[in-house]
Amino acid sequence: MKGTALLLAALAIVATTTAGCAINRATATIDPSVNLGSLKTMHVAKDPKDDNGIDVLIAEKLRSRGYSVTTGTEKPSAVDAVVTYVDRWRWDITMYMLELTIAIRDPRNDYPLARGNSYHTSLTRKSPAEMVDEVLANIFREAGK
Amino acid sequence: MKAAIYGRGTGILIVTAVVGLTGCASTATREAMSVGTPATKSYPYSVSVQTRGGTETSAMTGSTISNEELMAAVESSITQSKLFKSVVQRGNGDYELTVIVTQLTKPVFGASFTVDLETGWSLVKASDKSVVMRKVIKSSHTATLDDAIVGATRMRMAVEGAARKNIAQGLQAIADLGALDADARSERGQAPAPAPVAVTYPRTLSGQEIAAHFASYPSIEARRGEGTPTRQAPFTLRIGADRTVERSCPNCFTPKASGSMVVKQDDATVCFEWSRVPYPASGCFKLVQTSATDFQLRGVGMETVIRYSLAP
Repeated sequence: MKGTALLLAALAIVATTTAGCAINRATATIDPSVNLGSLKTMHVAKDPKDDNGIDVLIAEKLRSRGYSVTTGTEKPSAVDAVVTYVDRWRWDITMYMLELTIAIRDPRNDYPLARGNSYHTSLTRKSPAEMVDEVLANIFREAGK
Repeated sequence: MKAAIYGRGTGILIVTAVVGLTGCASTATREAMSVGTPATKSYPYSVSVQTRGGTETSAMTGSTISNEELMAAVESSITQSKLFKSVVQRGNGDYELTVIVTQLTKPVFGASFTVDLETGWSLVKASDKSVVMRKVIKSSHTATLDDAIVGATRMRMAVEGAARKNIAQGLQAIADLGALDADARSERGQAPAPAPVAVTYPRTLSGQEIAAHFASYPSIEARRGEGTPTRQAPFTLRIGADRTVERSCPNCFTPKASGSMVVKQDDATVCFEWSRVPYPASGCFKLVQTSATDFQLRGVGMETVIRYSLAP
């Protein structure tokens, strides 16, 4: 009886304090009034909490697409766009990147000119470099439509 | 035999408890995300709305904001606020409004769920595709166990609250634009306005405005206070769809109370009838907006004043 009560209590706590799980998805959105092809220089704003060098991975991918890219915590004075990112990690045997969101912003007002997001749970996990590649590929594919 | 029956009963009970408390994740609804407060400006233009970056809710994602529901909520809010003359289909308006969901941050565990929402609002003049406004709007909303015991419902309420505040801020940003004012005056052949016209406060809301106001804000953090407002116990007023109201007041002698609410449109009043509790007072009230964010329910035939603030 006591065991059942404990089980019920545990289930009730789980049910009232959690709100869903996860799926795998990859999306990209471009402001219809924006032409990403007109951008030449970008700065990847390093997240101070990022210990995994995601800013460097993003910068490398953007350079490979022909952009002049800097990265760091200091915002440079004259660039065409600032790139921000939010990475979320989970543990399942090892740590893996659950979600990555990258936004290409207007440096004057932080307005999101383009935004991409990838979300992969443990069984379909990707490496950080693959996540970066997937998000940026989706953004530029959407921009090329 | 007894043990088998007991075991089966326990199993049914466990399944019922989990299903009942967890519920199914549901998408944020257009009704709960809409804003009904009148805009401080009214532009003589039509506008079309498109939304991007939203995601569909599934059994696995938890509550999210879909493009379709967000677009309907923005359109409904524009119509109710009378910010633009009309809302038309995409491509047929004087202006094109695009709202992009950039980041929706939700917790996965906790008693209180705080959701942060970042969107990009872009307003483009259709005739020459000139960008009138590009603005980042950030909002946040917390839903507590007082709002809903079921986690999925509580999460949806937090998402809806963040979206509602976001839409309110976005529309206010458009209302604050000087460029649209200048356009309107120019097209009417008038000289440029000498200075922005300030909204005059306090303003007493009409019956229709009161109904729209409470439809937009079903949960209000308020405090009664005629003379010394800080000494009065704060309470949360929740308005149900069937004209029922609930009052949650942790510091009151009776923390939970319920009653009924009626908006008398002809009298421009809202009347509350509480069961068994004197606080915050049964009776009819005028609704007075004292600033862009502050409201007062002023008792009719009594001294009671209930104060609350809402996100702009």
